[in-house]
Amino acid sequence: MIDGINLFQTVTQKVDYLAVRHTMLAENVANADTPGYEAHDLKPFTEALRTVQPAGMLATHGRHMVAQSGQTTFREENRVQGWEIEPSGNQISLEEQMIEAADNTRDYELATQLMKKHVSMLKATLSTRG
Amino acid sequence: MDAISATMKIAASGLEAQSLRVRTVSENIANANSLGSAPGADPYRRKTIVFEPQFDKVLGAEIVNVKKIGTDPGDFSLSYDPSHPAADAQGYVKVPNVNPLIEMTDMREATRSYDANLNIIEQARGMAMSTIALLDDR
Repeated sequence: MIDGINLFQTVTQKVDYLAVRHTMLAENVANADTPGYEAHDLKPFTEALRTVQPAGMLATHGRHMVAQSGQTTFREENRVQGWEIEPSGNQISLEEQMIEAADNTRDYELATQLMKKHVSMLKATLSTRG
Repeated sequence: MDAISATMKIAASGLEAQSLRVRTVSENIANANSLGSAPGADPYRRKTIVFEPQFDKVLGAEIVNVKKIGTDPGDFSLSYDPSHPAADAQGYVKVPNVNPLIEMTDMREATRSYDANLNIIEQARGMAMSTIALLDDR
């Protein structure tokens, strides 16, 4: 039963990922008319999750320090081939970016709702009498 | 800084850049008929605006910055108006190199980009609100 609490960790990472991704989409949109600007994005969540978790070094001695996980952020960039390239070398398609941003917002909503639901499930378990 | 605030700041830089672009366009349109006053003098020269990405160390992200407001080196066209004070010896007056069609297209594009940045802010706000809603004890 307690295993289910892993969901908090996963959802927290997902929320973190989505917030960082939104920052990247904002960069793309802000630079939608900047000559020569290339679109960038994060890797898909499952792939990004694998790279963000530090492999961790084995502590084989009492004085070895173990790297703290949770310090790393999703900053693994991924140059993407956009829908179009303007004559100025700008690769941002506003339509494409807005679709991505809308998807991102929806996923964020989903993740936070999931977290909320999970809390209420835990509460339901705790409040059971008899 | 947290990602959501950073998102808003980046989009705000986009808003600022695009509104400066609209300002440049309106300068061009307003001066589309600004001629010289001395014989053979140059009329208003069209202004252009160039953006560049700028890495913001605080945000750790690239915001947009106005690189320069330059001028369009394009040739002036001539119109025949011998009675005008700016007319040269042959009676021709130099007319600004402003094409209203180009300016209007530019303005539409700037407005569209402005709206997109505004949408990003709206979405970031929604994300922050749904995070805050987690505190709701229901």
